[in-house]
Amino acid sequence: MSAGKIISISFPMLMQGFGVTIEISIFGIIIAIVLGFVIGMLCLSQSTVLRGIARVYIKIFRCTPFMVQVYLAYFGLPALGLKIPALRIGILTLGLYNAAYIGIILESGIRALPKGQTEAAQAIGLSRSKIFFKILFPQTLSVILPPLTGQFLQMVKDSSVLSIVTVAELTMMTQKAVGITFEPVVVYVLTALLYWGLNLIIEFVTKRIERKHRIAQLG
Amino acid sequence: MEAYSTVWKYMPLLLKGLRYTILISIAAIAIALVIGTVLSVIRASVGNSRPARVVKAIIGIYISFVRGTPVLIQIYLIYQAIAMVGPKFSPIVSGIIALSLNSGGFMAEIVRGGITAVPKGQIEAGKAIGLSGAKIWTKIILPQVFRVVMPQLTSEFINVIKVSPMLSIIAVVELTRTAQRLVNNTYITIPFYVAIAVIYFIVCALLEQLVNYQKKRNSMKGGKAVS
Repeated sequence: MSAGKIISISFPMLMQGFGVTIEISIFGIIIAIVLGFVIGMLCLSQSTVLRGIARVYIKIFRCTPFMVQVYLAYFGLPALGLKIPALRIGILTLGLYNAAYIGIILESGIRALPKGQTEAAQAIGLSRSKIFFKILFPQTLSVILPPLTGQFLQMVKDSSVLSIVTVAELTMMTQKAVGITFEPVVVYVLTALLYWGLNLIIEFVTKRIERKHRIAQLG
Repeated sequence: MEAYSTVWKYMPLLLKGLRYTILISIAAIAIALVIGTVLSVIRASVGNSRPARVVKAIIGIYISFVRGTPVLIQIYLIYQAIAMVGPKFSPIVSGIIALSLNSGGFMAEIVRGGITAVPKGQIEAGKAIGLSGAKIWTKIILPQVFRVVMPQLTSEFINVIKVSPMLSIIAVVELTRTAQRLVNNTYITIPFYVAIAVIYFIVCALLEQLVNYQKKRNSMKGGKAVS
C-alpha cells in the first residue's frame, strides 16, 4: 500500500479519535481542577481529619498505576450496579487520578507564600475565605500555572490508556486503522505526530497566558 | 470472600509478575540514566558551532517527542518498528527499550537540572589545573550531579514502575499481565485487580518514603550541590 493511500484511509479515522481525545481531555481537566481544588483546600485545612482524608486520597491515587485504576473502575463500577458507559468511566478516572496531583500543586503553591501575607490579612480583620480568595490565591496563580500546565499535558497523554477499555479515542482508532491498513509503523507515527502537535499547541498557548499573567502582576 | 482466598492462592504467581515488573523497571531506569546523562553532557559541552547546534537540535527534538507523546504510543511504535526491522526480539526486550527511551527523555531534563546546580567555576577550575574534559565530567561534575538529583531519580523510578503495566499490551508478562491471565483463567476479575493495585501501592509508597528521606538528607547537607 502506498503511503498516500495509507494516510487517506487512516486519517479520517484518526481525526475521529482525536476529537474524542480532546473531548475526554477537556472534561477530565474540568473534573480534575474542581476536585483537585477541593483536595488542595482540605490539605490546607486546620482539621486533622480533613487533612488526613486528603492525604489518603492523594497517596492512593498517586501510588497506583493509572492503568490499574482504569481497569478497576471499568470492571468495578458495573459490579457495584452502576451502569455507566466506558467513555464516562474513562473521563471520571482520568479526573480522579489527576485531581490528586492538582491538589498537591495547589497546596504547595499556597504554602510557598510568605506567612506574613496571611498574618497581615488576619491583622486587618479579613475573613478566612477573603484571605484565601483575595490575598493568597491570586498570588499563587503565577507560581502554580507552569506545573498545572504540565499536568494538563500529562492528562492528554494519559487519556491514551483509556483505549484498553474500549473508549474510541485516538489510540484505539489508531489500532483500528492498523487493523485495516496493516501498516502499523506509518499509522503510529501519524498518531504520535497528532499527540505531539496537540501538546505543543497547549504548551504554546499556556506559555503566552503565563507571560501575560506575569506582566499583569508586575504592572 | 471466597474469591479473595483464590487470589491469595495465586499470590506466588503475582509476586513472580512483580519480580518481572521490578527487573524491567530497573533495567529501563539504568539505561535511561545512561541516555539522559550522555545527552545532558553533550548538550552542556559541545559549544555553539554549527554542527554542535544541529546535534543539540536533534537532542531537543528527541526529548520533546518523548515528553509530548503518550507512552502507550511509544511502546506500540517501538514494538512494531523492531518487529519490522527484522530480528525478532522478545516482547520483554522491546518493552525495556521502549521504557528506557521514554524515561531517557525525562532523565535528560533531570540531569540537566542537576548540572545547572553545579557552579560553572568548577569546570573552569578543572581546566585550570589541566584536567581533561572527560576527567572534569566523571570526577568532578557528575558525582555532584548524581547526589543532587537522587530524589528525582527515585521519583522517576516510581514513574517507570507506574508506566510498566502498559507493557502488558505487547504481551510482556509483568504483574498486570499476570493478573489479566489469572482473570481469564479463574473468571474472578475485581479481586485480582484490587490485589495488584495493593501490590503496586506498597512498592510505590515505600519508594516515596525513600524519596522523602533522600530529600531530607540533601537539605541537611546544606541543599547545595557542592557541599
